[in-house]
Amino acid sequence: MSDFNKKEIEHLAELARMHLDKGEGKSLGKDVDAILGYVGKLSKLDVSNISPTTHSAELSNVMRNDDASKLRKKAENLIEQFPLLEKGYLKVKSVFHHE
Amino acid sequence: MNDLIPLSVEEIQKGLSKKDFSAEELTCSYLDNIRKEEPRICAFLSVFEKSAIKEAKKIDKALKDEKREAGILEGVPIAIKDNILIKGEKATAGSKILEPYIASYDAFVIERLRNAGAIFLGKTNCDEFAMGSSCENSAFGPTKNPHDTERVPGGSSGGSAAAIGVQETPVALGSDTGGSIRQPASFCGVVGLKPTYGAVSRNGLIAMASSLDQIGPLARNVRDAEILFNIISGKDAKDSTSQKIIQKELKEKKFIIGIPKEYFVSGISADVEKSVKKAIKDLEDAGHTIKEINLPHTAYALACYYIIMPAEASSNLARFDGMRYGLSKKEKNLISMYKESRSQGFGTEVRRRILLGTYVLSSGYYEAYYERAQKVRTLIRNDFKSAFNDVDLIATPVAPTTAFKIGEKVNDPLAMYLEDVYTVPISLAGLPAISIPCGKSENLPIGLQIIGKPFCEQDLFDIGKQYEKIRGDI
Repeated sequence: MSDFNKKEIEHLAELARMHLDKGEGKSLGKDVDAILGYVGKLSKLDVSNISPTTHSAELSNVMRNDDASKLRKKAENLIEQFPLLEKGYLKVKSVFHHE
Repeated sequence: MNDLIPLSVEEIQKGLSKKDFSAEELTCSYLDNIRKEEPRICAFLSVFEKSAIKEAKKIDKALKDEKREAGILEGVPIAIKDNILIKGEKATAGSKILEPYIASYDAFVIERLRNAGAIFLGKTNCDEFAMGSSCENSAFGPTKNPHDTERVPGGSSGGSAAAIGVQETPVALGSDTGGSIRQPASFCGVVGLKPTYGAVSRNGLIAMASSLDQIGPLARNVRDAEILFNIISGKDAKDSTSQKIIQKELKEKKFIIGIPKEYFVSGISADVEKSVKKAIKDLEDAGHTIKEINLPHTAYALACYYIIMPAEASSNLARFDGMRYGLSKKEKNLISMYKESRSQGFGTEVRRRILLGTYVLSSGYYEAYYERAQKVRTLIRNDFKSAFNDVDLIATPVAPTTAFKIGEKVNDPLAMYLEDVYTVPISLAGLPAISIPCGKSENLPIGLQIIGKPFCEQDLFDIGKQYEKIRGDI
């Protein structure tokens, strides 16, 4: 099992769009390492001819009517929750920027 | 305690119909209890005092004006776990990141309860995003166990279980991903049902691990849980995994009950083992057939769960970006706004699971972890499938121990995860399971878990009610 160093845990945090407090990288790295050590026991099982289970509901191709109009009022309620709103649009910081 | 508090759901219905008491009197009795017990227990994150009384008055007026009997849940007070949406109310899921959020719609289960005339008393505390087995991961402080306030109520639906345990509500809703209804029910001495995956719509439930999450009832007795389940279950177009359920009325059937020997191994406390075995013996004496069975992949279930759950949770929690709702930090650019909002909004356990989930899903590790875990999940499901060829039900403990002390396991995530060792296999297999109080160890409740075939909740209610008669009051 891989030993998580500071750089690796920081990379994971970067991927998950979080930053870690001082000292937290070390403690979370240690936890993740211990948990991965535990879950590593699955490698003892032979699963070569087993198909994966994505969920337990034995269903496929569930369809519904395309009735978007009914959601109009709900959409307005969602828009009200925007932290930054301008003329009914979600406002965000610019996506492209120069450092 | 006033006379109305101990009444069951059916007794409430009878009393309201006969005008022995009003819905307002009943609601006020519970609100009084909440006021009295909350400083000690901290089960609620919000209490809807005004709207609860208003709704109760409406029901009293309707029953009087229409000269009719009360419906089965009409006027019955209920508490709702704070990861289930009630329109116009806060829904924090125990997280700071959702502190400013007001739910914009009713969850499917809330719609059903509202139509049935249930009265919402408030929202109950839980581990942040339902991640935990003790309620200590709530951003708003821990809930205390009613049987010993130095101990945890279990989790993540600890607020709902404690609220019932301390008589702040007769019934409640929780959610269960790997044991989050069953384990707190066991710790607080109440009944809790995790329905079959697909029996109850997840629409309006704040998602943790979507292939595992289910909403379910908590109650003081099996019959009350059954009534609640019958109201909230069934097909909902907004959750494509929900299914129509065919109810069959069962009356005191004699069952074949399987006992998996893998569930009675090292790690289980002596008192828990003794109580659960006594309950099984009592069922045998009452005429049910007991049969030893094997679930050979049990030892791998927890490891399997702690890959699948964080993987799904890290994906689900990607929606909390500080941009569209909830906590939003003002930063100079988009990326730092994401990072700042997520870092300040999420607590340690949530971040731990996001990092773990991100790792097991990253390229190069996916096959070794996530895909392998999904294959092991098939093996675990197959274990149950073949066991159910020979038996109708399976009986096990709910948790290896009784309620532990607040702070005891909070710094040791693996020790905390082991709390779920008897409940996660059932979640991975998508089966229904009920937790029923079966004894005590030094005043702390112990739970018996009974597992059924998919969509056979009626079997669980039938055996549960039979067991309660044998057991008597605890």
